[in-house]
Amino acid sequence: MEYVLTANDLHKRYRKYIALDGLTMKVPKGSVYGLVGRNGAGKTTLMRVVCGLQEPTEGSYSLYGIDYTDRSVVRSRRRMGAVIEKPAIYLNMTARQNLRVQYSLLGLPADDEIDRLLELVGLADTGKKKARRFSLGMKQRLGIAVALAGSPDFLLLDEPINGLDPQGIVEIRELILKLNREKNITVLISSHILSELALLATHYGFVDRGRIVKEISAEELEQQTRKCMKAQVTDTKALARVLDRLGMEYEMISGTEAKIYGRISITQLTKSLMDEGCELLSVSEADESLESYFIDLVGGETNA
Amino acid sequence: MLRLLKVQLGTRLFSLWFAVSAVFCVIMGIILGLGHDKPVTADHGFQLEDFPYIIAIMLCGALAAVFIGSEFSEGTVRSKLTVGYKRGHFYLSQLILTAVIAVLLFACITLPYFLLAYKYFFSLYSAGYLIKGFGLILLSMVGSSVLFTLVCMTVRMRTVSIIVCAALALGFDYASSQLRRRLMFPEMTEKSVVEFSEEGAKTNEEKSFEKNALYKEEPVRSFYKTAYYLMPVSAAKDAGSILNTWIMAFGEDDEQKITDYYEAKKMTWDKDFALETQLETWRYPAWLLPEMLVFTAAGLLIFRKRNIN
Repeated sequence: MEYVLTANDLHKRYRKYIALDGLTMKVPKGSVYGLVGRNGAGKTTLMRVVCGLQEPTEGSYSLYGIDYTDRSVVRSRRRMGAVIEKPAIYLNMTARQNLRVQYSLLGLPADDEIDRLLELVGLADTGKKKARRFSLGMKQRLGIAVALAGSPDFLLLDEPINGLDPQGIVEIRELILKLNREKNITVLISSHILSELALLATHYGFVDRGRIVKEISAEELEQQTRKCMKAQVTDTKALARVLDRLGMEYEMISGTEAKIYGRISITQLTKSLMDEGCELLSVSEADESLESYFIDLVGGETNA
Repeated sequence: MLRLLKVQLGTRLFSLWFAVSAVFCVIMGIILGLGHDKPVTADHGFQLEDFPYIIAIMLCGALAAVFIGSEFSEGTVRSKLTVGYKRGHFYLSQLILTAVIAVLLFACITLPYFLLAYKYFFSLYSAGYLIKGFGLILLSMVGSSVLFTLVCMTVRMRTVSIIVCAALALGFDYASSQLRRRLMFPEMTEKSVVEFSEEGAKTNEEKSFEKNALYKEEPVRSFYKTAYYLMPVSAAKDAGSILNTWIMAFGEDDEQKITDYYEAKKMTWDKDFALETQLETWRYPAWLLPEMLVFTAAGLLIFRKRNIN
């Protein structure tokens, strides 16, 4: 698999505060990589480091296979666009002027591209309105448009839907999906709204205290978080025989517990188990959302 | 780097902040020019005013704070660094742009001033003197802009930068005036003892020389001088003196006449320091240029390692 970003044992310290503590991750090309973590877990720091705004204290990372210490990483950075915390836009300029400045900085011809980008982010009709007068969602979309100038193939979005109204959230989500599916842009995105992230991400990186505690694909996560029944029995071998007979999908999670996927009649299960000489001790419904999965991973209270 | 300069220069020159500052400087230049349309007499001399240029230095600091502060507060510095511009290039671009704005503000004052009072300039000064005088002012403004860039790139907050830059410009102006005043105290003062008769007629007068208590001895004197030459504003203030009335009175660039003048006035001003500031103008670039290089190197080093949010 080809990776756009590879971070290896990345550390970042601010005096005594450790923001990144040996973070290791790989962002596959073409993916929407969702970074999940509490406040202060190190998500924004990671993005700042990757964008070259801050130097890692230790460790390394590479962009498109080029180490960050290599001079040619500048070329890799030109293939990146980023919106970190808040959109980087000139407030006293219109959307068009902002994009013109960005294209000039990149040394690229702009005319057709600006119209296309404004259309893409839904700001084509803003005319002479200054960015200062834009709503938060419009600013965010303009920030993404600026980040998209020069057709990057790696986009870093830090909390892009923070503070947006439901309509704005849907618009940004659709934009990100469009960019990923139609233009094959790899997206590294962090968000507090995990349910929203679940609609976007193809891969997840769970960050806690400056490290990735788990990297998982969306399919794998779905497998692990799908709706199931947790059954506690006295003999899991007997349970396995019964479930095999009934054609149910299941997963043994301990010597006495199993997860059973799909619908099953409790009466039938109890009867079948009794025939096998096994007692059904308890049955509970388990519906693991991304949030509960995250809480299980990092433990304790979370405000992610 | 050139691309970075071109783009940012465009955004700055077409900003409202720059337009207002430029218009203000033009108005100051017009007022100066109109104020010097009287014939030169013994009572009414011609003096190049340094005050508007000190104001322009303050404006330059404020503009640097606004533009550089906005880069950080609006986050546009991130979009430049993320697309691969080097930090050193970004710092140097800010420095060059601040210096360019300083030069433009200088031009905004000087051009109308010069155009409205050109006949006095050319009838009173040789081209060499004019270049020397205005060159020192320009050096002072560019030197100040280097310092302002360092301050703004270090502080990064717009409002704080404006306050710090304005305080620096005012502080330098005040400190430079005070240092100059102290360094100009003559080493010796003349004391007269006059005797009068009962009718009130002067019968005897004895003149004696004594050490001036206000005169700054070494090593304080060297310290004061170093501080004076290191302050970018000093060059602008001395430019006014260089082109001032009494030099005009000599009619031409004549070092001997200037030396004789200060020799005659040595009980009023310190002759050596006066001649140093008037004739040895190479001292200003000799102090300011290395200072500018040191500030730039310091700024580059600080910004290179700085975390950007």
